Amino acid sequence: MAEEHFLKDYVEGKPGFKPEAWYNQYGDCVVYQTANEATYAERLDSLTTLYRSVIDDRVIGFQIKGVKEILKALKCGILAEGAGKESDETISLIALVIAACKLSHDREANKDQLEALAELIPHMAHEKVPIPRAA
Amino acid sequence: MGSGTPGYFEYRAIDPRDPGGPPVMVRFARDLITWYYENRSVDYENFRCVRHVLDHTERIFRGVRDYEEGELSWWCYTGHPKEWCIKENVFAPFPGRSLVFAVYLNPKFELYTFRAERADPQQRACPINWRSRYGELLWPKSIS
Repeated sequence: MAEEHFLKDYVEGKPGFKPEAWYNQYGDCVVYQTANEATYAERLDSLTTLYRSVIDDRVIGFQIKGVKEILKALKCGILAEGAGKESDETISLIALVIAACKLSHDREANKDQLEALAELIPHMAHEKVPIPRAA
Repeated sequence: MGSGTPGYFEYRAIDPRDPGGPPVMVRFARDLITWYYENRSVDYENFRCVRHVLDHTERIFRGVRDYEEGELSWWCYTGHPKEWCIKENVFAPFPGRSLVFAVYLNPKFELYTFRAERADPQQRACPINWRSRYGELLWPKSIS
């Protein structure tokens, strides 16, 4: 049994899991995960990192970093510092994955990794990522 | 330790800009904590591993991002927690021979992500391929 959580005063309600994509403003990255399991990271290329389950090694998620740069390259000027939640825009998660693969400056991914990433596509087919809109 | 800045939990860590000097306060944003609690409860449990790594830091790297802005650095702290949560209500020993736990901070020393990574077989405290992935090993300055 784990000891009392040191951040318990910062949360309320019940802990949970939602397999939804999230734009993390502190890291300018989008994370997506389909199962509530601990993972280890595996670099796909300079922008995308796969998350593999520590239980059975299957790919259950990923992180895409440098989202502002990706959207700038795509001429989607929808990001701005301090933008409010009420003005969020959304981008298709699949579009973001494709853009990250296209814009990565290296090509380290092997066939197995790309196939593993492709297996997530049915899960994220309709997934949209809310991203702060430019002021 | 705790809530020094409104909206943040703060935790003391080695300052990689002056490792022998006063500590730096690493900030965990309340909305980040809340998001993990509500959406990734297993990872929320593993904030304990973040605290362990900040208490028992084995390596610090800078140059985590390719497009770092001027003098601003993104940071990676690594270490080996004793145990971690692997699925809901299940804790297990951290597989420290093959994995290393990495804590990532932005230039404002705000926590933005944390995760296990495969360890370099020659340097268990370092994520695999660290020489090509990161700009510089900052602390300790030399490793055997």
